[in-house]
Amino acid sequence: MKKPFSSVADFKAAACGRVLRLLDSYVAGELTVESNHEILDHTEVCTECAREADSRGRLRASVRRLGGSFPEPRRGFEQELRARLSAVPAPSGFRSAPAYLIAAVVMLGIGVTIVVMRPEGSPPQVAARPAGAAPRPESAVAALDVAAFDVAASTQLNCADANEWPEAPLSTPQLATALAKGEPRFAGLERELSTRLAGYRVVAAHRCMHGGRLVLHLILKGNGPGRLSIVALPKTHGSLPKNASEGNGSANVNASAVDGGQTGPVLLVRNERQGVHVIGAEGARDLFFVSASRGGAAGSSDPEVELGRRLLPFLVTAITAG
Amino acid sequence: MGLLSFGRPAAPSLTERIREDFDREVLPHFKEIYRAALRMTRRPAEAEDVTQEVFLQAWKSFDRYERGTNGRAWLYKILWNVHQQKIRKRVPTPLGAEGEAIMAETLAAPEITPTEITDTEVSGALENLSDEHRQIVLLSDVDEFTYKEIASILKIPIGTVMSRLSRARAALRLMLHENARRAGIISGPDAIPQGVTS
Repeated sequence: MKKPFSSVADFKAAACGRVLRLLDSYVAGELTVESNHEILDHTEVCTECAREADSRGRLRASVRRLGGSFPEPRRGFEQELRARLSAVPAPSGFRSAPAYLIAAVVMLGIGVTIVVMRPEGSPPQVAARPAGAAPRPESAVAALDVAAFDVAASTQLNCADANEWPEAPLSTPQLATALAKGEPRFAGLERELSTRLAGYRVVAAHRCMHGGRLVLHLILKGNGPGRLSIVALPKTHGSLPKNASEGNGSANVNASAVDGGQTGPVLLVRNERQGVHVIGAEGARDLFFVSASRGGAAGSSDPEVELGRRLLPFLVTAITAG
Repeated sequence: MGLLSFGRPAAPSLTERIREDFDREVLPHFKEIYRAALRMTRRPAEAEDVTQEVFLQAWKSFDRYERGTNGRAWLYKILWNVHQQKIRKRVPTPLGAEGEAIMAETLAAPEITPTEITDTEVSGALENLSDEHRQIVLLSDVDEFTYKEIASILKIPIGTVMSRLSRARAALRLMLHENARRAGIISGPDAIPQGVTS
């Protein structure tokens, strides 16, 4: 039988102990949404654990910097390796594998497409990347943050869609507090933001951790049952890929530029991850996303596009200007 | 000669396609694999040997690689195998992961990370970790693999990944803590709050 806590100090020590045990997994982005929120709730009220979470985050960032500081291979090594590889015959498993042949033909036929969305009324243009086109050089893709789309999708899927949220909108002071706490540079944007929500209302706003990255997450509801997310995260891992060919080859990047004059000079990049539609834009120091699960937000076929067009250029320019 | 090769030799065409697939899915990770190899070996010449071996093995077993899956994790798996084969030939380090685990448990590794740490101190502490512990921390923090991916790369159960990472991080914190204590930045047991030691 569990002993009751004999004092408030015992209770706090037990709560801190649990949080400290989970903290490494929290910083690594490996906790469930519930545990993430448990940590965030605890660190809101416990300064020691909040400081420790911060220290461990900085330790992880330091390890990451050190690991990334190793030099590139010497010039010519890649060519030597390619030459060596070209002298080795193809793996024997391919030579008698008709199934592979069929798969190869299908794969070559499909290719990767980039869809450029045009303003309403004009037909979509499709630009296909040739299946045999050479991949982009590594240097061009090294600073691309393809994973940010996964973070935005995970925020929608594992937080907005996975939890119950109130129906009532946050009041303007509540939204102001959440924005300022999420990132001080976002303070004061609440009124302008509210005017661009296109029939949606912000029902919750908090910070949460996805894919090892702390994001500011606003959950929106409209008239239908679905939810949308506005996600902001620091631009620490690179820029957004502008099209499919800028994916690093290991991810199914299917991005497109949302054009149309309404967005001014801000490029909106569209993507789909894990059944979540994501529209992203890049600011000077932040990445912003609007996401919606496929079929989740009723009332519009592409609610994230509509909202993204209204909101993201504003966020990019307002935060950059601020 | 079969129907598919009519008018054109089939084999070269197929080989070309396989090479295109390989170029697209595997070779873009070349620089990252070299850097990871350099982290493991510390010597550029050895890192080149390891990188070359990784890509040769990847090419020879490319028929078993499923297109569109996680090519990066697949290469790390090969890299880990190649590295393990190489270090098996060497003399083991004086204090292995088990030793560190015992040390961390015996000395009640602090849960508290010093707040004033520099990259140089972190680098020194990482150097002093066992190879096993250093590699798992790097796979998680630098390469940003998930626990599941690390389990696949190292061929160990996910529970072992979690406990090994936890011990590695505790050992890292302990070293940083000891350094800070020696430098007079923190003052020994007082820096560890009551009730939160492991």
